[in-house]
Amino acid sequence: MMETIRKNSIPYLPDLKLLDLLNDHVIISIIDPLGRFVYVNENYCKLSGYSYNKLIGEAQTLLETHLHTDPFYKNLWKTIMSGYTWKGVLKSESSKGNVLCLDTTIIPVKDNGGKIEKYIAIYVDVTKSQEEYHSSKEKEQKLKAFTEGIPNIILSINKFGKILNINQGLGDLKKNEVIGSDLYTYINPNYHKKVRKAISYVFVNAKPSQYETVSFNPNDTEIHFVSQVGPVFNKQGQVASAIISAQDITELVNVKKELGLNESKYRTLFQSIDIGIIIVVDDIGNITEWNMGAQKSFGYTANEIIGNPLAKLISINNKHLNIKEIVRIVKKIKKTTHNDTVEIIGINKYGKEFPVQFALSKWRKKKRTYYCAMMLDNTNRKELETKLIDKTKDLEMFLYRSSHDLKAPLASAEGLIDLIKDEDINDTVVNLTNMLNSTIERGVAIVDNLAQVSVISEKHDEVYLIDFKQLISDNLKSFQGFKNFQKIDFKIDIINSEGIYSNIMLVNSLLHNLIQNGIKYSNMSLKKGKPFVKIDVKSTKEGVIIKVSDNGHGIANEHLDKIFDMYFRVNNVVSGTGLGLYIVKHIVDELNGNINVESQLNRGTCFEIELPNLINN
Amino acid sequence: MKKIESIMLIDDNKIDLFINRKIIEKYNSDLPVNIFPNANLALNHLKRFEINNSDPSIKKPDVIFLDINMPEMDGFQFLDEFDKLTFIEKKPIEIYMLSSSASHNDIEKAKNNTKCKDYIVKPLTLKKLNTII
Repeated sequence: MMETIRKNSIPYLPDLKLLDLLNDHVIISIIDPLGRFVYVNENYCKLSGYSYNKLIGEAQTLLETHLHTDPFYKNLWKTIMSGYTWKGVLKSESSKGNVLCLDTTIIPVKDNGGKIEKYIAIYVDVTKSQEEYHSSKEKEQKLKAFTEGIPNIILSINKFGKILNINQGLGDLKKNEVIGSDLYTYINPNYHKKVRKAISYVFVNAKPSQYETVSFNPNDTEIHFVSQVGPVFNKQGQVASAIISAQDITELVNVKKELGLNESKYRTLFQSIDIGIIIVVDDIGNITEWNMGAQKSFGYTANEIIGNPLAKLISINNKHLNIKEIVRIVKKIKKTTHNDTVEIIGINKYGKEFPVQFALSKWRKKKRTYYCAMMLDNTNRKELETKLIDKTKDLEMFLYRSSHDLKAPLASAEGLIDLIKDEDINDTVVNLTNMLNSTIERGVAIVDNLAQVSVISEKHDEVYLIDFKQLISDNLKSFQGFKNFQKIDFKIDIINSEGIYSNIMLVNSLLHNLIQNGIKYSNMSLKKGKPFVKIDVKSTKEGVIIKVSDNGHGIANEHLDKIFDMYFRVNNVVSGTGLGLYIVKHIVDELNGNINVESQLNRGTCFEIELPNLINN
Repeated sequence: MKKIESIMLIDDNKIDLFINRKIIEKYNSDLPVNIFPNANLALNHLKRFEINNSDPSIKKPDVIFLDINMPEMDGFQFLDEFDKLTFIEKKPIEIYMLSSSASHNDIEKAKNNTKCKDYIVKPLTLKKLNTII
């Protein structure tokens, strides 16, 4: 059947070769005037998804019929039925359900009598290119919507400022009304000069330029525009026109303005601070910022000092110190003092030196390092400090003098009592004299301790090699007259292979108080054994450990943390001044040592003291 | 033990002078004691034993008890002045510092001074006196 039809159809076509060629590349169908297929090529079969046999004789659906109501198909049929060739794009659904786009040409073929015998339809599958076309169309539309969404004005002008084209109307004026008018009529005259300059620059130099303008909207609020002007070249490479794109940057300007306000606020704040000195220094050490405090302390005004090196303000031998060296010096001082701030000597405009607290911080901005030197004028503090030191010295002197001066009358009283005892007196007077004697002894003890307190701060820098054996035996001798001294077993163990250097007076005072406590608080009614006071001294390379322990009354746990307090006394059973252990603690601190105490009530007490060797080798 | 023939007491405190004199009396009531309420007077007295104006009728002291804290001239200043004296008699004079001060400084200073034999903490007692003389 296929053969027959082919035979029937082919003779009408002038060139077989041409048909073969077309067959390979295009989609061809031939239909009779009633719309039935008389021929389809293989491409058509592929396109429709049906076999040749199935299609031939069947009514075609692709072109619909002349009875179709859609104006598109109505027009198509009207054209071909009138004997004209129709061209257009048809949409069809493939057997797989995809939408196909076919560029179609339908040619009516007439018989000898001039009657339309058949229609040859040639299709080219343009689905792909059609899709591309649509997507690009879509993109274009999106882009258009996008650009229209931005309140941008794009216009082109000639070198005289005449508007050649514009993308939108301006205000109430329509696009057409704007075109041909003068650009300058839309610009505040204040900016004419600026705009003219920018435009002329573009035309003369063939390079882009920009300008900023401000206009007012109907609400009288400012609208800021930034306009970019770019050259448009003609074929000869000359600037034929310029394109200006103006952008509303009002919001940006407002933000900037606010930032500017903030910045000026902080700047004013910074510059007016006059209690602290704040100086900003760049990476080579030159001053870039200067505040009131700095002016007040150093005497220079900002104009006088900015650009000068920071080293000019610091009294260091080398005036040409750069910032790195200053940083290094500051770091070094910091290391040795363990302080966040260091104290250095500043030097003012008139050459006067004064102490300042100095802190340096740095930050990086745009690859440059900046330093902020913050200083606090210490002159007043220093004066107060000196005054305080003087006052403290006075007070210590007063304490020292009074304790010594008080000793004299007490010693006289002791002497007098001594004499009274030898007189012929009755028992009552003997009793009274004994009471007077113990009262005076107590007074002497207090005064002795006060004298020791005052001695602590006196000459503690005098350091000698310490002979512990001598020191302890001297001390024990001084206690010989003490109550219970003879009943106590003193155990002394000294291992002193290293030479220990310290302040002999203070160490003596330390031992004196600890041994005295051991004697005073000894327990004379022990159930087992004999009361003892044990003194262990062991020297090491670092220093010395002194242990004074006893089996005396001991200290209750709740009192242990208070025993080093001034005037603290556990009880009134044993007479004391409340200064002994305060002095001990004070001395240990003064000698950079440590003290530990362990005690159990009715068991005994052990004081352990570590003192550093104050001269190393 | 050498024989002590005369003792000199230098102290600005009259009560201490009284106590010390009493104690010395208890030690030996026959011992002459010369009392001076300030160091200058004592020094002037001692100048009488110098080469040029020696007076054999009075006895030079064997022992001086010297207070430290005194107005005008203190004990240490007295020691310096004493050092300048040139005695005709070569008999040595022993000087003891007698003070209520237990200050380590004073004690060290006294012990380091060659003219000072020893340092005694007040009050002077018979017991203390017995150990030194």
